[in-house]
Amino acid sequence: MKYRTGWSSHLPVLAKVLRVTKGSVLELGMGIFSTPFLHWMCLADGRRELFSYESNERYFKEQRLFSRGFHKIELVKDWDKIDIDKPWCVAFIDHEAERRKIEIRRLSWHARYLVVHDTQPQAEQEYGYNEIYPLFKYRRDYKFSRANTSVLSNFKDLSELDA
Amino acid sequence: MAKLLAGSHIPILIKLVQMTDGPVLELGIGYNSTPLLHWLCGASRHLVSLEGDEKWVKKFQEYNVDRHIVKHIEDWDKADIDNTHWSVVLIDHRPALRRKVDAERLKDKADYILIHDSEPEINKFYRYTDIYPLFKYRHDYTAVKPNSVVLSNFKDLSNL
Repeated sequence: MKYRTGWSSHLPVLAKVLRVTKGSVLELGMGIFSTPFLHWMCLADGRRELFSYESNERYFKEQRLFSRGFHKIELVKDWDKIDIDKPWCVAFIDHEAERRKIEIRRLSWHARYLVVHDTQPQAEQEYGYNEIYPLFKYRRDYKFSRANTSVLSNFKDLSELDA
Repeated sequence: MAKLLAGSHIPILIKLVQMTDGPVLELGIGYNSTPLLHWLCGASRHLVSLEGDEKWVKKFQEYNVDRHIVKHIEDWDKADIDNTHWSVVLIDHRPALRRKVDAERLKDKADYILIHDSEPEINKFYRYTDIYPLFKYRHDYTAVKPNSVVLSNFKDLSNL
């Protein structure tokens, strides 16, 4: 398999957000780039609490050995039933296309920072992010890759990400 | 299991790249370092990723752009790495005993040399201890395991 650059374009944005935060991290949609990255960054930063959820059994099996005390990993049967409606410092959104805007809405007043992958306008038909942007006070779009990444927040004005 | 738990050098690698602004060299490509370096180096920094296994080079071919050279190396002795002063070098290639050879080769050509898999119990595979005396400064990154080590003849590493 050839790795597309767009599959990893969220990494520098996640690094930026993790650098300015301290609390628990939620990953919706696991992968060979984001899951190891979040695992090691959270471990190195004093074992930050990390929860990773994945509905694809193959992806789940590939990454489940990262499961540790500080890093909980769960295979999702029904996204409506995952226990995420509580405070998070950072939430990374990269799971099933049709579910993303639903979980973003759920997390809009729970997560201080939402990092959302694939926000390029060309993918709007697939993800429908335009529906959820008005729910947030603050937004930053990172467009250095064809696969854009955006940060959304109702709590932080995001200016600290510019440093 | 070892493959899945790869990537423990990610936190210290990010730190080194973010505190420097010059060229970066990656010896040994992989999904935990190549994409990360590609995006962290951005449009302005020169990045060279070299790999002995052609299969991996093909996997990451899309990352091979003007500012980021991704290249297959058949003979590490012939790799053109000696004519640049690198800000950061990541050493994570194979064969295991080749790592100390290239670290020694770059000892006066890099501000920071980050070498993966440096815990003492596996020194018999890599023999990094042979090259530690060649460097003025050394920082053992043991916050996560597998460990990494940072070596330098130019930068005091006490701030790491």
